Parts: sequence; C-alpha cells; structure tokens
Amino acid sequence: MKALCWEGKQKISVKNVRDPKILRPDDVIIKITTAAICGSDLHLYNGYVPTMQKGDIMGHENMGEIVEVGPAVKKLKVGDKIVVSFDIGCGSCHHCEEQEYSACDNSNPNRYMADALYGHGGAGLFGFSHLNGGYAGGQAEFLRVPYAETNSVVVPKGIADEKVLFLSDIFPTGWMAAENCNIRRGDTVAIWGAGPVGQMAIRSAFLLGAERVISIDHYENRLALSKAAGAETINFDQTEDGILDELNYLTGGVGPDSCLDAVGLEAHGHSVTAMLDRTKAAVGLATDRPDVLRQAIQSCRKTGTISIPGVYAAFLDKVPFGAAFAKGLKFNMGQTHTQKYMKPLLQVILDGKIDPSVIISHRIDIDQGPTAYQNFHSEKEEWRKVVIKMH
Amino acid sequence: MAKSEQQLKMADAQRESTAQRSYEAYFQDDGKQRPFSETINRPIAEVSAMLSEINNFPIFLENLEKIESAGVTSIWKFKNRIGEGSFDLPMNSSFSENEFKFEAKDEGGFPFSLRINLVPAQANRGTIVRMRCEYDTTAGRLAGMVEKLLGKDAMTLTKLTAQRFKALCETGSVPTIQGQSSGREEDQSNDSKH
Ligand SMILES: NC(=O)c1ccc[n+]([C@@H]2O[C@H](COP(=O)([O-])OP(=O)(O)OC[C@H]3O[C@@H](n4cnc5c(N)ncnc54)[C@H](O)[C@@H]3O)[C@@H](O)[C@H]2O)c1
Ligand SMILES: [Zn+2]
Ligand SMILES: [Zn+2]
Repeated sequence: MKALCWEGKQKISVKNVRDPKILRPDDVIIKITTAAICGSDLHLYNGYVPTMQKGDIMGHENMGEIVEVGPAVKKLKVGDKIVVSFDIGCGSCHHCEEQEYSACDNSNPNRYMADALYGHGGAGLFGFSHLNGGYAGGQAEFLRVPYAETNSVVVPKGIADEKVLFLSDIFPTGWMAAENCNIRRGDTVAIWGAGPVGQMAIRSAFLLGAERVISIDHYENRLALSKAAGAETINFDQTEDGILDELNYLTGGVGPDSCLDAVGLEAHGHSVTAMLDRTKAAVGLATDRPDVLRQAIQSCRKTGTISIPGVYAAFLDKVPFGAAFAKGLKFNMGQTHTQKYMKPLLQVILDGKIDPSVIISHRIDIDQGPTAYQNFHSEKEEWRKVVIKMH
Repeated sequence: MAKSEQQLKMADAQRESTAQRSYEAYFQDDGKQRPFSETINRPIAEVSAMLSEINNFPIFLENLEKIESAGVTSIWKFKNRIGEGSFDLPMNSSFSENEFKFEAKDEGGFPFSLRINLVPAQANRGTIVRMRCEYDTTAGRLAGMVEKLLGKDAMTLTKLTAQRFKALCETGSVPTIQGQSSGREEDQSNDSKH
C-alpha cells in the first residue's frame, strides 16, 4: 500500500509499504477512506518531537471501512465505517474506566520510556513518535486499529466523510478545550490560534454558553472564519506587544474569564520574548516556544482559567508563574480524551449544530502529500486544513 | 580528621536501622534494592492466579521464549540477543502467600532472579505489584553478560516486565507494534491483500 512516511526534518515521502495485519485479538484493519493532516503533524515535520524514526507512517486523523476484524472483536464488523480516535485507549485500565483515555496505562508499549521523561507516560498515539508507542499512522491506504472497540465510533451510512472525520481529533480537542475553560453563561473566552483547533474551540465555547469569544491570530483568512462563527478578532501582527492592552480594552479592564492556547510550542510573534524563544530553540537551549502561554497568563482575569490544548513537549522558559499564582489562575490541559466525546459530538454534527467541515481548505490525493506538508507549514494563510482522499 | 570510635559506631547503627527499614519495606528475605511497582486494576486473587500459571510468563517477560517443566525447578529458555538461538536457565521457584521468587540455580552460570509480591491497592483500585529482576549485584562481569544476552539492564527489564504484566492482567494481552508496516521495509509488490 502507499503511505506517507517521515524521513527526517521537513521530509515526508510517499512509499510503498506492506499492508497492515491483525497483531492482537482486538485489532481491526480499516481501508482508509479519508485522512487529514493535523497541526500536530507539523511539530513532527519540523523535528520538534523526539524519537521519530525514518520510515514511520504519519497520520492520526483517520476514518475508513473495516475490512478485517480480530477474533476478540464483537461490536464491530466488516463493512462498518468508523472514525478512529487519535489517542489509543485499552478500555480496561483505571484511566480508561474514568474516560481519561489519553492517560491510558496499557496502550503504549514504550510507556517505561515515557515514564522517564514525564514521571508517568500516557497513552499510545497513532503516528506520533516511539515515545508515544510508535504506532503506524493512517496517512496510508490501510490502518491497523488496536483495541478497536474502544477507539472508534461507527458513523451512519450516507453521511459525508468530511462532516465526521474530525471526530478523530480536532473537534473533540476544541470541545474539551472549551469545556476545560469552565465557561459560565455570559463569559468571555480569548482563544489564541485560529487554526482548526481554535476554530472548533470557538464554536464549542459558544455552544457551552460563552457570550463573547475573542480569536487571536495573524492570518486574515483564518480570522475571517472566526468572525463567521461570531467571534471578535485580533490580528497580533497589528498589535505587536499589545495583546494584553487590547484584551484589557475589550474586556473593560477585567481580562477574559478564560484564555485558551490553541497554538502550542511553535508560537510565532514579534515580541522580544518570542524572538528570544526562537533563538534559544534554534541553538537547543530551550525546546518549546511558549509565547502564547505567557500572554494567556498575563491577560487572564484574576481567578480565571487557562485551557491548553496546544501541544508542549518539554521545557518552557520564562513562564510568568508568579502572575499565575498572584491571580489564582486555574490550569487545565493535555491530550484530548477523544473517545469520551466521539459519540456525543457525532450527535452535535447530526443535529446540525456544528459543521466541522467548514475548516477544510484543500483536498488532495496521497501522492500530493509531501507538497501538502510543505505548504501547510509555510503557506498557512491559504492552507488551513488538508484532507487526503484515499479510497 | 579521623572519625572517633563512637562516631563510627553511630554510623554503623544508622546503616543498620536503615537496612532494617528497607528489609521490612521490600521483600521478606532481602531488602537490598527498591523494587518497581505498578497498580493493576484487578483483584489480588486474579493477579495471583495469573502469576501461578507459569506458562503466562513468556507473554510478559521479554525474550523469554518458553518454560519447560513447571514445579519447583524449571528450565527457562531465553532468546539470545547477542548470538543465535536461545539459552537455558535452570530456575528454582518458591511461593508464599502473595510472594513469588524465581532464582537461577548456580549451575546455570547466570545470576538471574525475579521477585514479585502483591498487596491490595488503596481505594479499591486493585492490586499493587512490586517486582524486581536482578542479574546479581556482586559478580559485576557476569551481570554485564546477562545484560547483553537479554538486551536490557535489570531495572529497565523490571519496568517493562511489570508494565507488560499489568497489561496482560487488565486487557488479556500485551500492547505491541511488532510486525506492523513501516517505510523501513518497502514493499515493491504493489498488490494489496485486502
Ligand atoms: N491537545 C490535543 O489533544 C491536541 C489535538 C490536536 C491538536 N493539538 C494542538 O493544537 C494546536 C493547534 O492545532 P491546529 O491544527 O489548529 O494548528 P495550526 O498550526 O493549523 O494552527 C495554529 C495557529 O496558531 C497561530 N499562531 C501562531 N502563533 C500565534 C500567536 N503568537 N498568537 C496567536 N496565534 C498564533 C497560527 O498562525 C495558526 O493559525 C497545535 O499545537 C496542535 O499540536 C492538540
Ligand atoms: Zn492532531
Ligand atoms: Zn487504558
């Protein structure tokens, strides 16, 4: 089969690899119908995530038709169309029982390595480095789905792939991030990043009761989509270091009730700290560039909530923890417990309350994958969300 | 300045009491080194039953291919990571309530041991398993040899073994990516089996 493989920093290629096979009794194999490239894939593309190996198959936003089931699979059958969560839960450990799937104890065969880095390592992830289990991803013609009954939702026949594909990651991610904001009716939520995750978070925040959402980015194209969902917008290129002042002005000096960082470790910006971050990351003195997190902490109202779906990998420099302490902020963060949200959010889509497909900007076939990665990385104004049509 | 007789005595007493504490905290018959522990989301009787079935060991103990003739003495066949084929280790086993000990017999020439004990976890969260693999602590050269044969140091093997054992108890098998597709082995055949 054809697959998009990681071959090194900023190098993705299409390769012919073996078809996947059932390796455990609760696996299924799907024929990928549609897959997507995620903002998180860019962290791999740009070499920010350690323990990638040449030849690893990319992709964690996947859906397709079941073509083979393992002997222990009871609730799924050949022919079912499923959307697959990006994180892999075993379904039986303490965390899975608590619906904290991204903290699963058992799905990562290399958890002992991740323990060394994080104290306690989390779930295996599709196509996301060997520290996260080394599972092959789904930017390919076929995919093996382990613990398949836990990690999928069957979608009704007849609904377009594009409407439901993002149940695999960014819709639950935006939703959980908004939930993590502790929104009370009438609240104001500021959201950094108007990419796919930011867009899903904006829409979810409104559904969860926010009265105002302020969307921050520097791509007018993306900010236009935020406006279309009812958000106010700030183009940070036009405010330079003035985000804090702008947010204070917009919120009558109080600050947003919650601040949501949908950017993560590759924040852009012209502030002095942002430039320092870039220099340090370039020479290996720091791993992450947390300028958005700094701004979120500074601008959040006293006793407000910081929600962080944006990915951070290791060490952060000059985070104003004193401000967080002084203001009594609350923090919620982490990889999404996707499986918890797939079913309820499928209903939200079927009810027509949110249509995640609005974020798609490009539809490609797998051979265009390498160029798409390049463009998604460097032409963000135009390249908002890429879906790969497979079968 | 040289330590006084009394200072030395005090230091000895201190060491002894520390040893005593770990003696109590760790395994019954030796408290040399802290074991690794994991909590298994299953009742202690079930976890204990899993350990009593020696044929389960090759599922969670990496490189262990099979165990022949169970009972007090058995032969553990390990995959040889530096050469071809496997090597045999005659092992003694002993069990007491919720404590399991497997130790290579001297004639095997490899100082390998595996100790496990089980205690109920707090808050009804199942069972705490405490585990330690050792490749001997005195014969340094031999320990290094076992490390090469098994491909991992003893602490790393202990962690991996405990986590795989937990996965086996909780999910019925261990997680794996062995045998999955990757771009490291290209397939030129171009025909799909599905
Ligand atoms: N927590 C999870 O489980 C999870 C799941 C999916 C994605 N993510 C993460 O969420 C983040 C966003 O994902 P995406 O797909 O939307 O990515 P994306 O790269 O398409 O979008 C990020 C957006 O942030 C904007 N941005 C950069 N610097 C900024 C700044 N200083 N201020 C405001 N905006 C800024 C960029 O212009 C871009 O539009 C990534 O870090 C991704 O890894 C996390
Ligand atoms: Zn993602
Ligand atoms: Zn689990």
